[in-house]
Amino acid sequence: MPLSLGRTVNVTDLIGPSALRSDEIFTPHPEKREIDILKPQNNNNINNKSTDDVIPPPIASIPADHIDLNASVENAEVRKMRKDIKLDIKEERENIVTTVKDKHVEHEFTNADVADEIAARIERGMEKRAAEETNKKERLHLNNSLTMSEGTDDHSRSGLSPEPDKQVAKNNKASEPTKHKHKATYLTDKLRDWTVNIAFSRIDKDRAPTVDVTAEKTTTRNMYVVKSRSDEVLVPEKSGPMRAQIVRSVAHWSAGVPHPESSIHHAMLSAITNAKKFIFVGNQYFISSINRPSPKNRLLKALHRRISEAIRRNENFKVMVVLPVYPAGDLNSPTTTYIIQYVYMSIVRFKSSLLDRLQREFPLVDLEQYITFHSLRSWGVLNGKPVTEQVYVHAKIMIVDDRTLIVGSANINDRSLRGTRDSEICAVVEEEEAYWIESTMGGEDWKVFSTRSLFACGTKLKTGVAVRT
Amino acid sequence: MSPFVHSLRCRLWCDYLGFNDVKLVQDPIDEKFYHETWLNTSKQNTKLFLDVFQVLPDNVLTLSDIKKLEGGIEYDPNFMATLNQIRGILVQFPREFLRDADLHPALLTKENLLPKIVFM
Repeated sequence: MPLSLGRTVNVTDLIGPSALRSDEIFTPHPEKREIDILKPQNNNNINNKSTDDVIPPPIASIPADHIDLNASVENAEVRKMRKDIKLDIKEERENIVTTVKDKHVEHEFTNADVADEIAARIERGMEKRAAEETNKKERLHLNNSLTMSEGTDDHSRSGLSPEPDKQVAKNNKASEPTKHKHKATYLTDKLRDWTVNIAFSRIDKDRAPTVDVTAEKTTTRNMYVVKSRSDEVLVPEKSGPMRAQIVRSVAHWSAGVPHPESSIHHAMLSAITNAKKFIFVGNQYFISSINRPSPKNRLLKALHRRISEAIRRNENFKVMVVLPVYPAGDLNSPTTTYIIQYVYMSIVRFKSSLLDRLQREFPLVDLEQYITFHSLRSWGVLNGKPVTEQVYVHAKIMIVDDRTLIVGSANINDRSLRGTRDSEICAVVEEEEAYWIESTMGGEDWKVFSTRSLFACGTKLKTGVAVRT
Repeated sequence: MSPFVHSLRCRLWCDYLGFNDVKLVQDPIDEKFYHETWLNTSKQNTKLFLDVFQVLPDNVLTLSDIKKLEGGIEYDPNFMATLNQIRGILVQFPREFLRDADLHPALLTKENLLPKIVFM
């Protein structure tokens, strides 16, 4: 179908959404990019037909040669349109040139490289559009079958493709008679869409457009089911929808909230308390206490209680902790030694430390059965001499039972967990039970092992607001 | 179990233990895996590192010993043979690190004047 149908074509359609992705966020008036391809030649036509009735053709159905910029056309308006697109592409060129520069750091990039990039982006844009079209149909089908869900937010992508959305909305009308789009909802949806895309474009710029992540609202407030389709960058095979909750440490001074929030602390305590099989912790710090007045966070208390319980019940329960030996910086500085002291005060050698206390309470038990602390170290050869250095663990990760993941920016210390001090953000990720895979854990069939989900006892997570809608 | 969280942990642990096959770390609390692979690798690596480098946090007990960590030492000429036995990067957490040192900041340092809670 030729382009001379009364429709508005976004430049993104021609270049591919990924090309404009980063730009669009910071452009104050993205609508300026829209070019009216062809104004209707006689007004009678438009009066007879309401614009809504004109169902625009999906862009994927337009053959590639129709957007060939070198194709000869006689129509003056079309020529003007071509000029406009070229102008826009000129703008985009700068953007693309930087991308190409990144790719060819060592070599000098040529115009041919830029042309290749433009061609590749157009191609990718077409492919993605085609994929989106089919995905949308699937989602529509899914929505109609799910009565519980509030419905997909198709508007999340509408900034890039207004036409197909209209189509979907039309078809959706039967199942959803009242669908008011609140502006804030629309913005958060868009924001999430961008964030997801930015996140993946950072992982692999080339692969970013093919990653398709859709987030759908569940019936529970503040929770999203993040659906991911077929990409090994994001999730491995067999992975299904996941529930994720954003938890944070914020206070009045840092985020303007009326009350300090320490939902990361609560999430971690809850995860430890409800652990059934094992806990794996990787963190930069490990400063906590069982019952000393400070540090005030009670992670160590939760660990102590859970391990004591496991020892008393003679359970097969393990805790693995990976920490750096000493913090980054000058080893001789008093700050560093102070932190070392507090870390060891939590772990070993002190009366109130976890290992000493457990050994005192259970003198006959080999604690290695239940808890071990590790650090990481690598080696290399420099000038014929072996050299070694610790691998500095800067990750903040907690994995419980291979089912719950808490990952983010929060260290295990009072600064990160109290809420009134540093501001931090973490994600609690759980996969839906239906997608769990068969496996064994300590010889037992782990899939059927009854578990209490972290979200099932979500009352313990005090506030943790993901996205306000 | 959840394939997403499970695969993330498996990949991490493969890096720690120097494996290429995620199937080897599938069951974290299997007694055989835990003792023979996880703990054994960790202990063996620690021992091998100590054999070659001699001074590691594991045997630095006082603050004056810290200099040795940075300074040069006599190496075992067969170090390559020993180092090649090291699998992955996992080692034991050095429990005795700075055991005999007074880690409290000296009286007239700014760290001593600050409230303790700043460092926690």
